[in-house]
Amino acid sequence: MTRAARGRRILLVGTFALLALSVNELVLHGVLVTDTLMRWFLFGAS
Amino acid sequence: MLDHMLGVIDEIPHAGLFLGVSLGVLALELAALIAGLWTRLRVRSGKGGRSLAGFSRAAGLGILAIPVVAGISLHAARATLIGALTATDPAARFAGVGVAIEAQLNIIPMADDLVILAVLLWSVALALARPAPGGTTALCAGLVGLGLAPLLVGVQQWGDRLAHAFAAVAGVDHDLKVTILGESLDRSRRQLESLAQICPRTIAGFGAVAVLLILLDRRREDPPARSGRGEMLAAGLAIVLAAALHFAARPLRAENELTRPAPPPVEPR
Repeated sequence: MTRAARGRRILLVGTFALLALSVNELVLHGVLVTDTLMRWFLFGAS
Repeated sequence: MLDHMLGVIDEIPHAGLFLGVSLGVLALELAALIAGLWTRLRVRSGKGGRSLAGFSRAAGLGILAIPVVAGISLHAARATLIGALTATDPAARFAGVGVAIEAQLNIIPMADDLVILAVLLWSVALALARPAPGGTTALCAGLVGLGLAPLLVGVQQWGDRLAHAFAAVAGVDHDLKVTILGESLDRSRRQLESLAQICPRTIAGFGAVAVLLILLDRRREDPPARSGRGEMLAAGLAIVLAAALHFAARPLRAENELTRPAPPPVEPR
C-alpha cells in the first residue's frame, strides 16, 4: 500500500471519529431534552 | 423486542413511519448479511465476490434512517408534551403529559435497541464480506462507531430506569411520587452523562486500533492504480455531516441549560 493510500485512510478514520463525537453530543442532548421537560413538569423551573 | 414494539406502538406518534422504516432497515441489514455470506462463499470457491461485498458495506448507511424517524416521532411527542403543559384543565394536562412522556420513554430505548440490532447485523455482514478486496471505508466506520457503545448502553439504561420508576410510582402519594421520580431522574441523568463522557476516549481508542490496522496492512493496493476518490468523498461527507450534527445539537444543549418559567402548579391526582 502506498503512503498516499495510508494517509487517505488515516484521514478517513479521523473524520469518522469527528462524526462519532458529533453523534455522541447530539444523542446525549437529544435524550436530555426529555429529562429537562420531565423535570420542568415535576418541579417547575429547571 | 418485536412483541414489546407492537405492544406500545399505538402510543408512539407517527407509529407507522417509525415501525415501517425500522423494520425496513433491519430487512436491509439482513439482506447485507446474506450478501456477505454469498460473497464469502464465492471468494472461497475462487469465483470472486466484489459486487455483493459493496452492497454489504453500503447497507450500513441505512442504519442512519432509524435515528431520523425516531427524531421525528420524538419531536411530535415533545410538541404534545409542551401543548399539554399549557392546558388549564389539570385532568387534560395530566393525560397529555402522561401520554407524551410514555411515548418518549418508549421511542428512545426502542430506537436504541433497533440501532444496536442493525449494527450487529451489519457488523456480521462486514466480517463475512471482508475477504473481498477493499472495504477499508466500511471497516474504519465500523471500528470508530464501536466507540459509541457506552452511549448506546447509557441510553438503554436511562430508558429502563425511568420506565421502572414511572411504573413503581403508580398509586403512590403525590409528594412521595415527585421525590422518587426526582431521585430516579437525577441518577439516570448522572449515569447517562458519565457514559457519554467516556465516548470520546472509546472513539479515540477504536480510532487508534483502525489506524494501527491500516499501518499494519501489507496487502497490495486494490484494485491497481486506485485513485482513492471514494475515500476522499467519504471523508468530506463525514466532515459535513459532523458539522451539521454539531449545529443541530446546539439548540438542544441550550434547551437543557435553559431556566424556564415554572409551569402552572401540579395538582395531586
